[in-house]
Amino acid sequence: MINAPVNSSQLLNETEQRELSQKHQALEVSVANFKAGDAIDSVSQALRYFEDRSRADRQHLIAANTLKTKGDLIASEWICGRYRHLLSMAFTAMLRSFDGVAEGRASPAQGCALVMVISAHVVKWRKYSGGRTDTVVRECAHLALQKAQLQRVEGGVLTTRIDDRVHETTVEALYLRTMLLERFSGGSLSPKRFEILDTWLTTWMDAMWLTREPSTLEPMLAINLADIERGLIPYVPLVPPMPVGESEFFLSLRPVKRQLDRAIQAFHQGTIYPGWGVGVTMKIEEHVGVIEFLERELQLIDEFRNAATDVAQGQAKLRGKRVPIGVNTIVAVYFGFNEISAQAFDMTRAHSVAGGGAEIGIRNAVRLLDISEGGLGLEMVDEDARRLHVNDLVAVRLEKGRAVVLGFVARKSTLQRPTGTLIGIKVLTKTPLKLIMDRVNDANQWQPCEGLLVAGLAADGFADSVIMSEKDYVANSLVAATLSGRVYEFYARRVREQGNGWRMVAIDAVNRLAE
Amino acid sequence: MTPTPPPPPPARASLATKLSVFGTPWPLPPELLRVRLKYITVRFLQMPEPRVLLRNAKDILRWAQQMEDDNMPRSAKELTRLAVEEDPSQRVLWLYLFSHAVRDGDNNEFGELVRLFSQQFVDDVVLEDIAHVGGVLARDARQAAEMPTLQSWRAAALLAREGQTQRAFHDALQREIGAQSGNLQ
Repeated sequence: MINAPVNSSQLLNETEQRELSQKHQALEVSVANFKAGDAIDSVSQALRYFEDRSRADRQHLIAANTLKTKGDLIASEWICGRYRHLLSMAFTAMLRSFDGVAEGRASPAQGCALVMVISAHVVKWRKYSGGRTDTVVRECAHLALQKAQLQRVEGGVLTTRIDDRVHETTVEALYLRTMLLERFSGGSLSPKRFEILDTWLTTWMDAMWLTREPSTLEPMLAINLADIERGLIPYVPLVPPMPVGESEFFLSLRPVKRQLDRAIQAFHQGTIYPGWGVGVTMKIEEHVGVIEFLERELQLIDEFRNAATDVAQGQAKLRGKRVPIGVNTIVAVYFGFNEISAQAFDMTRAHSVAGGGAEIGIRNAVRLLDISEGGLGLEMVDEDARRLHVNDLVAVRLEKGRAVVLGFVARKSTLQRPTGTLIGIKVLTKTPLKLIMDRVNDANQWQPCEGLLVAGLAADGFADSVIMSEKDYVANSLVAATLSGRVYEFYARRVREQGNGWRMVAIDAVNRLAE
Repeated sequence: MTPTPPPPPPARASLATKLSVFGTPWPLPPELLRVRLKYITVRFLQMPEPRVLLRNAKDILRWAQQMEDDNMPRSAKELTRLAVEEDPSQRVLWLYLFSHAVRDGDNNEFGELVRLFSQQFVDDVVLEDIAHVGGVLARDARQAAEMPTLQSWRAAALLAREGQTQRAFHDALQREIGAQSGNLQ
């Protein structure tokens, strides 16, 4: 009952927290002497005990949705720390169960399943406590799956407990749930919505499976079990096809889309999908937020694949000229509508790789990690990356003398390098046009304002947009802009994308006047 | 004594009210209907009175087109399916759904729509066109998407959207962007 108020007396006090932490430390010492199977069983029991004891705290923190007090932050970090400790114990026990004879009450497959279940908790609580998924989770999950595959037990059905519910599932399905949670943890979902998403993924996990061979006919995610730096990433078919590595696997997104359709259909039929879990008591708005998030994520993956495939096949229909950009190069980045508007289009800066960011305290150089038609990956120093938030507007000059690429922060995730953060940018346009426009204000007078025009892909122009500052945007206000010597009047209609300080709105052209 | 006549059979509901188009058991019990309507209101914010507005094919098409313009084709399709479920007699919305299935290259969905449409509109003149499009779709989805019949089922065509000024604006914007790129080189 996430929305049910939690009585503060139900929350663990410092002494109780310390007591639980000490129990885990004692368990870590004692399980080293247990048979591997018994060690797995003991960690599993410790997990259940911890979840029972911390239930009220977890419910309180998820219901709060944001960490309101320092106490909340400390409590969520403590919960995350406990899960990490349990993960470490489960991982060690799992490895031992494969190294020696599988002795004791639990099997090696159950050890792998336990590692996956706790890994998912770590992903969630790292996110809730404001951190990002660390490579430890990927390392544990990748290795547990590899071990299970070697013993051919990854597809065997076993009984697993996730929160308070028992599931008949497989190690591979649990792995996919964890890795999908990890992929989506870089986005903008609040704790409540992330819990709903977890319930859905748990429901869907048995409908998903990894394949050895990629398909060129459907969108897929790829994962390399030997690469702990990356989780699931969009798969781009290569031309000509390259042989698939031993540790590479693929996940078709068609089953995920079908499951999402099922969830939507349940709401059409008046039921809260899937009918169990924490989401049952949450508002419809939270569920709709998850639907919109997933639709956007799946579409991003589709767009990435389509664009990358077009490029690979030499059929790119890029509006700007395509240039070979070297990755790992320093690029100029501007942050926020005001800075972009003031500096990114300045001709004197066009031939420099010096970016902006001084106002928000960005001090270090930004490197380009990867690039595609639909997105950019930037590497920023952790300290700088903390100043950026999901949905912040950015402009990136990839090369001296070229127009900036305009986009917004779609996700943040950790890099293996100790102080690096990967910033995923969704590209809005590679050829923005800055204009000084006029808009009719509240006093019914024309007033100058700045706008960044974005040409949409549709030839009829109905996908064209203008990016305005938050303070200048008034829904359905009349705006005038001069293009190619003629004045066009248009209405700034509905918001298509938005973030802190900016709105990207649909253009509805109504008049073409002579200059 | 005259024997009591057997009770008359229950009245058959017209297909338009009976058809459970996309699996929603119709009519819904009040508590489920409340969740459904709340969902629609939250999902499609422009719809404060969903039961009334879902029966207005023109508005639905207009919103669906806007969603396509905003790169949200899944939402456009979902809204249209909700409207068809609410009132399956909105023939124009069925045509729009056919165009979606073809654009997605989804033979299964197209076939299912054909089955439901022919139940709803027995002997409709467009059934012949639908069968033709279905045949092409089975062979080549890209070719099917370019068929003139199919183009006429798209929301913009069904709405007869006037777009000269918008297109002129778009062309001028493209020219200006080209000039800007030239200046930078």
